[in-house]
Amino acid sequence: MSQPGPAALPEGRPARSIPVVAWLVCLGFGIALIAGALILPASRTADVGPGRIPLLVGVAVAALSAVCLIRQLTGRGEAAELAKSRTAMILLVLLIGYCALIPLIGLITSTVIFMMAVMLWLDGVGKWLRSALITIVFAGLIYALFTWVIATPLP
Amino acid sequence: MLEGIIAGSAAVFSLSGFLYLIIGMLIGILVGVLPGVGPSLGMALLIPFTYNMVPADAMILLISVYVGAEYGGSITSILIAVPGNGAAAATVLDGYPMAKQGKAALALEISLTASCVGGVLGGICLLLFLQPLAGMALRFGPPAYFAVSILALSAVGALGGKSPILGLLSAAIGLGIATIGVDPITSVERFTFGLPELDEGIPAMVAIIGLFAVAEMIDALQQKASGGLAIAAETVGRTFLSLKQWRELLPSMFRGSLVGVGTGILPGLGSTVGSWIAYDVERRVSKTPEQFGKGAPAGVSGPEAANNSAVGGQLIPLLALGLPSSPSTAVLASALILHGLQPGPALMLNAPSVAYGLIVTVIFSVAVLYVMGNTMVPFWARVARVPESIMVAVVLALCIIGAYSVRNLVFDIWLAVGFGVLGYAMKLLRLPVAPMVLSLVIFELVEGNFRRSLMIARGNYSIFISDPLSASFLTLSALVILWPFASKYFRKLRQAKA
Repeated sequence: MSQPGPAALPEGRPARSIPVVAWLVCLGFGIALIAGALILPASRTADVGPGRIPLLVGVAVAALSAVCLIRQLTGRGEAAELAKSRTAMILLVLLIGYCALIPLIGLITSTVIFMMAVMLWLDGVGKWLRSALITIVFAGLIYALFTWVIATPLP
Repeated sequence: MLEGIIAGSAAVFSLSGFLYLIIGMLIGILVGVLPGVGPSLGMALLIPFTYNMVPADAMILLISVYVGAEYGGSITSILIAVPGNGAAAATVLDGYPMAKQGKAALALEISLTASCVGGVLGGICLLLFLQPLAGMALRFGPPAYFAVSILALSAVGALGGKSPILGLLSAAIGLGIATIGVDPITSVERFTFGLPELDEGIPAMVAIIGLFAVAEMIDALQQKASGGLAIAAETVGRTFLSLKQWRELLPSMFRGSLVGVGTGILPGLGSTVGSWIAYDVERRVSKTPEQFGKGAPAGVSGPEAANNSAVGGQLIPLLALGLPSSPSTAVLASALILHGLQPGPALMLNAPSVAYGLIVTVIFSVAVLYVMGNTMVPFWARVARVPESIMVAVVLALCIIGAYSVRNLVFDIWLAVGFGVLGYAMKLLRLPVAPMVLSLVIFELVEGNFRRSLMIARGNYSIFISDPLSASFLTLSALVILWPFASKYFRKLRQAKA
């Protein structure tokens, strides 16, 4: 990984409210687990039922999230200062596009498009031949592996 | 026993036995490298090819695949933060930072050496303690299994990151996510939202791919864009460990091997839990625990010794009692049955060349692994020098393909991406990922034994205290959780006095 990546991208201001939102989401997850566990049917046998562990885990998640939230609000939180992540967002959009294409045009074709897109984005169009060669060899290997070695159908 | 060892050695050191050992090791390493294809799947795929083989040769081939795959899983853990299998996930924590510091070859060599030491010690333990250790494993009832799982979670959670609260929260969220799926006891759907893909729950391997590899690639690229990531140039030169490195790391390899054998014997724990416990043990005994997660060599040697020594440990209940204690030994058991052999004590009497051949292969295959692994280390280390653009494109494509291959479901691809986003968010929030991964891996062990214990005790929770083994493990868990708070309190007290 010694190749220079994309040019330094402008990053936003640290968003201090994000950790608070994150701990609130965790707290919500804990409460949802408790609520979900309470509506699960009780067992008719000696078993404690399918809701007992989710209930206990939900209580633990809610309690620990509450501690994190209080610590964050009182300025003793451990969470990092978050900055806007433009590069991460672009990569994520490419990844989501790749996943969305798989059922439409198949895994091999979408893999070729995704890999070419990532390499052209990071390296620029100047190295398109290298990118194309790597992509074709990789896609060929994956096709051969699934078709002849694991004998598994590809989407 | 001596006659058995001689018969087993004759099978392994025959021309065909040796050939199958080498072929199996090569296949095993490759199987280990592929994300989503673990040793059990690798062995299962090979079983049809063993139909026409002599049973001893078939077992030599399968055991070599098993040993090779346990090592091979660490290669991608170190180079690209994609564990080849669950047992290699703990290796990512320090192996990958070592690769980022330009020490990929060293990390790979430590992993190989530790795997070999673990393999030899696991094999020796298998030979020496076959009977007594199998008896000890039988004393573990559901309460003890539940308690030991809680101990593993507490240890990794409380001591996993900078803050024990964050580590425990990560473990708890992991358990919460793992509750998704059809309840195996009552067949009630839990949090599946009517999606049939969630009936079997969240596959741990898919979550591991997302949490480690996808998140790592997003983070690496983002840090590079922010100018915060500097990857040192790789130095591929002499790869063998120096005498000083041997002296420093041998104790961790011994400790890891003991943990691996112990968790290998106990059904359900296996090499994955063993490698996490070994990682935690190393961090606790280390004089520089703050280095863990940043490229501590002992963070690679401990877990790697554990996952390979677990091979020997897992064969103990299979050979002594006929009980497979993990998916891999279940595959081995089915292979034995396919060849007309019943796993268990009778195997020693009826087919000593097969039974002792298995044990001799576990020990001797290590020598083949060491030679083969060392030949390949410079090649693997060059992978770390691949340009970032190619690395990101190839690794993310591998993640997606690996996630799909776990159950052949497109749904799992989305799961992997979702876990990737979650893993990246956790990195930003400084929530450690390891406790969540462990929770996802051992959830069935936790819940199954919790409920079985309460069924035995008719709902009385005191069973967890009245069972001496369970009480001991739960006390240890409480101490592990309280330790970071207590040590912080005493440190403050000492500072106040000073």
